[in-house]
Amino acid sequence: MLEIQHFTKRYGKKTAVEDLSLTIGGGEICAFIGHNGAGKTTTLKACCGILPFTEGEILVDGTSIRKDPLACKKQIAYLPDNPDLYEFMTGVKYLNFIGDVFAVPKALREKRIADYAGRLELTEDLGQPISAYSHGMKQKLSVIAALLHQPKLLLMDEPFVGLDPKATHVLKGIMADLCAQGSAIFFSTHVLEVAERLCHKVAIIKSGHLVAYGSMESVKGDQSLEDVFLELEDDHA
Amino acid sequence: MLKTLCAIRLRLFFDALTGSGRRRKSMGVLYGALLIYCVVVFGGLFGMLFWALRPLSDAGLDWLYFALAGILATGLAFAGSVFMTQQQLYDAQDNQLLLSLPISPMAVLGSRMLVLYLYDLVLGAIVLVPATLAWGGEAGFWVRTGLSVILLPLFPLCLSCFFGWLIGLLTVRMRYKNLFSVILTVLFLGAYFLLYAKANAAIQAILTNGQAVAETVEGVLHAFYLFGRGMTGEWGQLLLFFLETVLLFALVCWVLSRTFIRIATTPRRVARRAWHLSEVQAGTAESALLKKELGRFFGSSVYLLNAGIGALMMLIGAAALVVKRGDVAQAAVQLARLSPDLMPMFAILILCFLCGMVDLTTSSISMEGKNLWVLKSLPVTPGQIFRAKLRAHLLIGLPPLLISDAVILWVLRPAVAMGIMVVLVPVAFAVCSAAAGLVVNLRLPKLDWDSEAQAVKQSAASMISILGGMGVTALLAFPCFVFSMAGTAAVVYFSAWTAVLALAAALCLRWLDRGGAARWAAL
Repeated sequence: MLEIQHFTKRYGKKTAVEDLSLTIGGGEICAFIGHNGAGKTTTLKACCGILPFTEGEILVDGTSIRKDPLACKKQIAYLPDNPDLYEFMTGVKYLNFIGDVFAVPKALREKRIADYAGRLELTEDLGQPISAYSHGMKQKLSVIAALLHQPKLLLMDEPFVGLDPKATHVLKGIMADLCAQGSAIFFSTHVLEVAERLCHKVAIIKSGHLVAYGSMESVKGDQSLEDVFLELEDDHA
Repeated sequence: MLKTLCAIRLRLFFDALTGSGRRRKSMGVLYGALLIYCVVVFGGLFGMLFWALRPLSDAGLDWLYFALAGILATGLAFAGSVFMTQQQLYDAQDNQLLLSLPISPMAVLGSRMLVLYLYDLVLGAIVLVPATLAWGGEAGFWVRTGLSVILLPLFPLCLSCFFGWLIGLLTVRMRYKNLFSVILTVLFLGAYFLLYAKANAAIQAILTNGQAVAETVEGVLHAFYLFGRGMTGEWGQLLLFFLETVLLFALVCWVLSRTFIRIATTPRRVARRAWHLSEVQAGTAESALLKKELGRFFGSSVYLLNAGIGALMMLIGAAALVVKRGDVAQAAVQLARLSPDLMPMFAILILCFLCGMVDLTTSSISMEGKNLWVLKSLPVTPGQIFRAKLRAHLLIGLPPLLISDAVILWVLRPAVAMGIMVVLVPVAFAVCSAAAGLVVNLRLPKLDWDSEAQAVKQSAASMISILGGMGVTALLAFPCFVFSMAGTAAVVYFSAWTAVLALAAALCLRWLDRGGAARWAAL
């Protein structure tokens, strides 16, 4: 579903990510781990077509994001690390806006909004302006908006930050459901325990270079993901 | 700490105007040129005004001349900065961050007030310098002038901060804050334009009733009496005025610092309402993008009032024309003896000027700010996004323009060909300014704003767009009056302008289609 080939992104003379390649198939969840400033957000933004990149290729379901961004974006949903949404809209208007852009039929839209908003306990607040939302409520609204068109590829940048424990639990369940339906999920996180329990694959990035990538079992072996991550950090220091 | 915060505010202020990086120098040159233009135009206007008031000296009312200069400088500075105050002081997005640091509220306030002071300084100088130049004097006079230019702006600063504080206090728990701001601003602008319209009559009244006006100023506006006396050479009175101003400033600072945290950090109360699933309505991507643009426009009082003021003035003008249609029609008949097309030409120029004041597109890219990721991550083309922004601009600008056109045609009853020009030229102007505004904003976006005013009022794009609109209107007007155009010549002239404006709009749209998409991707 997602194929990153020799991805390189430079900001002027500074190289943010260099020669990164990885593949995530349908029905797989891949955690993207690395220290702050390692290049996780840059990679995720390039994957969803927000950020142009210098070299390499990114394919979404076989389509190049560079050559046909529109076709790719129709299959993607992206959750940024900071959910800056349109504060002049109410929650339901924002969901309507996203639904219109993705051409989600009315009946399906109603069903999904009722389902996800109910599970994330945001139903009561959908009539309020987003400007009145807390960080966690905005995060929940972003999640609902992302799931509205049932994306084939879900890209998330630290999705659990700001969510309460119950919402975190619900989101993990939603991710598992989506994965069971054949969608791929690629998300960055610093919560290694969650990544270890939830993901089929893991990619570890350090200073713009991919230092480990593969199935969770092959990367961590008998160790915990935390131990592996810390070892890799030391090895490549 | 105050010094650091002031340096940051000044950097943000100048960055908002000139941008950063390679463009800084060229934008700096552009701003220098604009500053000279403003000094010449406004300085000339106020110079002529005060030249007309020089006879006050013959009546022994020298001080009244300077008192009026002080009042006018204060009024202009107050009008120019009062609507920025609320945004600058209380709505800045970094307020909570700064207040969480070991920085006194007074230091945060002080740094914000510095920007307001600079505005007041420039606006005050636009009045005071021509007034003093028109009067002239010995060396001591110029020292007093220098001191006044620096210290007088503290007075309008106190007034605008007081009003900003009052509005902040009133709206801190208000549900419909935007509506309140809009009504207040419209009322204020109405009063301002009413005063402006009666300026000539006021000058005559001052000259004929100088003594009575002097007594009123001395009694009611005693501070300006002191200022006027001081400027004529009574140093003691001038120092007393400055002392009063500084004390007032200290008092305002003290009051503001006592309530700053509460006003700046109280979460806005919103009109809580229930919703129902029936509100979920399906539409097209195009309509969703358009609704989003209109929602943003009507959801922000700063955006609404600054980018939509031209539309509002067109509607007010059309209503005024209907009410005063008898007088206007009579004036049109009289003016027609001089030149049959004079009134329609005025109408075209005024409508073009007002169309230039409808400038949604000029800041519509900048207004995306931190939300830019939403549009960039969605499956919509840059063309769809640009079209939505253009449509929103035209939806706000064109209906008031067409209403005004209809009223003008009804009241003035111009010749058919000139009537067509009254409609065509402003419509071409509106379309051109919408497309050009979007091009300018794409070239000069201001996405890292921490208050909407930075994106809408203080950015290079909005400045270029507003002054560009005025410049094109001036270009349009100049030959009309120099060559006293009328009849066929006027129709040919305006037809040519329509073609030029349509061509410029087409070129802008073509660029948006090609270079614009690449520029959008690079944002």
